Amino acid sequence: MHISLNDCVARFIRKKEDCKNGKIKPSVFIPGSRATEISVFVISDLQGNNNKIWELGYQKLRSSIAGRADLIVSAIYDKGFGMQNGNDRHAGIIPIPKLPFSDNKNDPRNLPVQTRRREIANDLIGISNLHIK
Amino acid sequence: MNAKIISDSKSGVLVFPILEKQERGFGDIEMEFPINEAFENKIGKPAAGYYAYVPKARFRHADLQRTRLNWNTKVVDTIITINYVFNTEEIEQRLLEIRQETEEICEIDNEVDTVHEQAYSDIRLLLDIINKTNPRIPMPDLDSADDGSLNATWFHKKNVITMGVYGNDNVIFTLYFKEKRQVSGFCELSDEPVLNGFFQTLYDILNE
Repeated sequence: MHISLNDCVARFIRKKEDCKNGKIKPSVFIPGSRATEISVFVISDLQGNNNKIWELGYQKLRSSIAGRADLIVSAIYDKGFGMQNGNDRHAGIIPIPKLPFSDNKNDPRNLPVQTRRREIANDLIGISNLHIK
Repeated sequence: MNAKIISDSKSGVLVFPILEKQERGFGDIEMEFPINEAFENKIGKPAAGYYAYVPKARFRHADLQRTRLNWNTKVVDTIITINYVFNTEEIEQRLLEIRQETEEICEIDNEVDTVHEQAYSDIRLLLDIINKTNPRIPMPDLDSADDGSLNATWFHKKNVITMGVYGNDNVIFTLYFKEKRQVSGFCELSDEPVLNGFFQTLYDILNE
């Protein structure tokens, strides 16, 4: 699926606690330690039909959805990140630095990269719009 | 003690105690004031956000910063600096919820890391350090991230402050300021000078 600068992508949020009080927590954008992208889904053509967007989130995450963080692709690029196309609406925000010692996420040598991944999460919060289900 | 809450702005609650004239000058007295109950009484619903984890505020009369006194009236306008008392039961309840949520998510999503048992110990230790060394910092929100970290998060205006632990005796802190710049770093949980510097910055941000 080709992604254009005007597209809107969503990061679905599973836990209510991650979007309570109308605020998105940075942890929403911190991916698993093996991930090198932050998974999002293209929802541009679904905007205006929230039910379909929630249904998409439910299908993709295979769990209940508490909310979502919407991002405009051009804003992602403006922050210095890129997008990686995937299949079936899936896309990834890149690059997310790989943990140099990823076989053990508790290895303190991973801390500089883990810190950088958190900074990226904060950057993405700054350009996100929260929608609570 | 009677008090009226006039705002929930800034770092906590601005509590204006109603002191009797004869109470003037009473010494270093520790009092407990049930914030949640006060919120319920005054605005008819429980406090939201981190107040839910802060059922009591303890303060000393010596801590009072008197800004404007009028002894001719019954009301003395006094800003109390609240020393928060983290509720261990609430913390344990929240950690249990996180543990259950994470286990459920890990079963259906193999890209999500489990939270190491040591991370639970580290977050307890971190909260204990915060509350003992800087009781004026309110209780943060607690959550887990997909990378297996446990995180303490404070929101203030559009500032977002987090401290995260993975269970290796280290803590990562990030401060994301409303003007969209950020500061971050990491240190060992035993590194008091660095942590204290961070706590002071955190406190200053929460009191902007």
